[in-house]
Amino acid sequence: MTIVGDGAVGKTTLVQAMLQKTTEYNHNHSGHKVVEDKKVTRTPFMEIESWTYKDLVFQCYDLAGQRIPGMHPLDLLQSSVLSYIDIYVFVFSIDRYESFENLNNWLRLMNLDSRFKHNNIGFILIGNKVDLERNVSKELVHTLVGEGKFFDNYFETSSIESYIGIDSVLEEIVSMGKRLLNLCD
Amino acid sequence: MTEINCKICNKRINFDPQNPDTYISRSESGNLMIGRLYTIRLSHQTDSGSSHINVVVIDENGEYRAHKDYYEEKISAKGAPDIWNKLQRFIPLELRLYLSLASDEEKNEICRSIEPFNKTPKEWYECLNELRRNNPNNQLVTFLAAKWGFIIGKGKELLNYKYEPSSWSYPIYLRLQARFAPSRELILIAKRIDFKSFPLIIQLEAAIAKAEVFLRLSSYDLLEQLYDNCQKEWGDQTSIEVKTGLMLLQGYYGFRLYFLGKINEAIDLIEPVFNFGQLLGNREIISVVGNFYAAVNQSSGDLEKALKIFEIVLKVSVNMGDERTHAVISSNMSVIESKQGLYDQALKRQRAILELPIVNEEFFIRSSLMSIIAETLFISERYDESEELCKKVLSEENLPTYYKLDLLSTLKRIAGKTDSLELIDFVRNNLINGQDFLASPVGNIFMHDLQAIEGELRSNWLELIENLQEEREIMFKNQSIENASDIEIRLAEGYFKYFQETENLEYLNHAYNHLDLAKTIAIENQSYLDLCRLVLLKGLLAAESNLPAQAKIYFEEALRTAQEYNLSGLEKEINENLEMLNSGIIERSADSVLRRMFQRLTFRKSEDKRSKKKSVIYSLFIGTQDSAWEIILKNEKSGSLNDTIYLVGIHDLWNNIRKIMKQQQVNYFTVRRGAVLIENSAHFQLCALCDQLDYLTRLTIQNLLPELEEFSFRHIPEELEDKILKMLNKNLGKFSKVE
Repeated sequence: MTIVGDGAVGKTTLVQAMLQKTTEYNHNHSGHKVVEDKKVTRTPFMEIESWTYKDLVFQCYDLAGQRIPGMHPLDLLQSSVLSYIDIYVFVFSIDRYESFENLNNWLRLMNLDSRFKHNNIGFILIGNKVDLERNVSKELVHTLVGEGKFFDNYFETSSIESYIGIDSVLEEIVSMGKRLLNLCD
Repeated sequence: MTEINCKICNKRINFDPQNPDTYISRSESGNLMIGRLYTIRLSHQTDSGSSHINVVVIDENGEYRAHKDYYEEKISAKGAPDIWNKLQRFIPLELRLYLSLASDEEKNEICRSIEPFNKTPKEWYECLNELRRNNPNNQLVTFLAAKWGFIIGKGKELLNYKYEPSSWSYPIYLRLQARFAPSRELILIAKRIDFKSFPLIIQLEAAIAKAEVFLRLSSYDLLEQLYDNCQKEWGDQTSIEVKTGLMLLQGYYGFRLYFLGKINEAIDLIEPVFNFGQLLGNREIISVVGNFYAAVNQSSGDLEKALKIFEIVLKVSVNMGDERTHAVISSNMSVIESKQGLYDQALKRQRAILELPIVNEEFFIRSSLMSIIAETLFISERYDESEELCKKVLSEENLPTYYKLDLLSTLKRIAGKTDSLELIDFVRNNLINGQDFLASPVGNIFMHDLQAIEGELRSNWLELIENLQEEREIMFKNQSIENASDIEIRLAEGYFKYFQETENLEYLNHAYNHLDLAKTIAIENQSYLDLCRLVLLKGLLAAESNLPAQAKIYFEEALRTAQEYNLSGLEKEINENLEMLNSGIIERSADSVLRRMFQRLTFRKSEDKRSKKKSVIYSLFIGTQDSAWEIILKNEKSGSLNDTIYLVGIHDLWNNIRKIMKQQQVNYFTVRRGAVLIENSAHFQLCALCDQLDYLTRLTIQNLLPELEEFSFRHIPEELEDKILKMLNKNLGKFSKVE
């Protein structure tokens, strides 16, 4: 899976929250604590994280949100990184409308604007920072989500405030992953 | 009618998307994904006389969809809010934050004088200057003019104005002094200035000025103290004005670490500032901190990244019409290009800079550039042209000592390359006068070096050795090992020649010792070309000393290095020497070859040679290419389980990527945790995660798989596991298996 969206929408924090959650899960089951608290800063290029959750191993590419032309992973590794992605997670920040509007730029950059060519791929939309002021209405978001629409599902999360919505995202990723694997079989 | 709540006061606001009288402006927005939307700018008055502006997004049916922005516009009693708001939108971003300091009277005056607002950077400078001439005692106006002039590189012109210590523009004046007339006295002045009674953003301006003074005059302790104090006082503030000031300050502080040799820490501090500047579009930050960021990357050996950053800064300086930054950045870029061996490209760029008006106007920039061009000509072996240029610049009056020394140093090295005693005399006659210089470490080193070259040219090997030994001692005493490799190689040559003269074997051993020291430096710098040449040189010394068996060992070692690093030119040369050695011809021809080799390895452009720490390998993954057997290992001392999971993730990723790769492009890349090395052999695959990769560790890891291939019991998992653990224990440290 890969996680994309504008700079500072909280992608890395979101991934860390998922890691933390799955670590707790792993911790309970295997007795090891594998993730340390990490100081989250700007992702310089691309960060690769992996976790195991409910019998599935996930590998997540956290792409830099700030684009310096010629130095972004999508400029350099587009075919290598994107050609075997099963799940795309698009993130915007609920308090920043611009980050929602710019989702279209990321889709175009990844040549995903004709989404319906990609039947065997899952698309999840996340509105992060739900603990902050809402500047993007749910009505607007829902024009993009659901059957026959661009995104399969939408979640609102906060990676800071009690990990709101993180469990639901993880569950969705697992069920989507299992569904996609069956499709692949 | 559409109804929204004001984001500031929560008041219900109604507007009719079809009736322009109910809003300020309406524009179409949205995109293919979210569909057609409209952006509406709304305003409503408050009891205090100000306006609340809400910028909202609605759909085609007029339904509210999102809030793009909201802010308060204060309205003066005397009116004219619209024009003031318009000015705020048009004035350069870097000045916008200071407009909050304007009084009503100043607002009217500024608006009246500046309209129309759509201006180029140069036009803004001219009109702000005009405004300053009409209001010479106005704090805000004089500050805006000075600040903008400073940002677009009009420093020289700004120095024509008078700056009182109580003026808001005084910090700008200090920054200019630090750039154009640095003196120790400036540190005292910077330390003394107290802007506590001034507005916060002007206090920050003063802190930035202090930082620049302390950095340029190498008062690193004071800079650290300043940074800590500012962080303590304003670090928890979140306003963009304070954040901008503090980030710029962090840039200066980070660059201080670079001077203290802490390159990685410097990058950690500077990189976020540069990105912050880019996100904001703040050209002052991009120019100042971009220069720092490129310099630290250059120093860490990432020349390509440094060039890319310089390109970003260059683009900003060209757009701003900042010729000074343009000239400085371009010449920095040309230095990188010549380091990369792109001499023609570097010279082309340097000659283009020479045509810039500012270079003709400003003697300092011209002198610096000419000295850089002379150096590029020298390293591209165009000695005649370099010599001519050096002499031409040296004939200029009032040439600063720094540039003069640079030019004389280039001439000195040309003398060594061209065996010119005449040039040695020229350098000696043009040396900087005064006992101060000759007594300083720099002067002392220069003189010993000059005498050593003269000794070499006169075949007085003892003089060469003695002077180089002295030079080396002074350099070590002053912790300056920039030219250490050069000195070691020249000492080796001196001792070898002296051995030939005296036939005293002790001197031959000295020669070998010095070559080994140079080899260590080549290894630390991961300079395989030099490493290979040095081993070849050792072989040539042995051949010349009638030690053919020893010579053969060295030639073969050099050959392996050349083959490993695809140094095809050297590989050919080494093979020729091996053939000559086998046919017995080499003893008669090695002397001239030796001279050429010594010459090739010395007097080149000195690059930063910082000591590199030994790598720490956190985790290793070794698997077979054709079966499910694999072993995952963790460094007992420095590795964690987290590292191991991370490495397994990378290994999976790599194998996935490999499936769709036409050919393997890289086997080494960096990640946030450090560096990953991937090695493949006929039966095995190895992935290593380490903090960074030095030459020796890399070589050690690369040697593991061939050893495993040769292992007779490699088909028996228990034996294989035991063998791997033993090999690692012997070469890389204690590792344990992770289940």
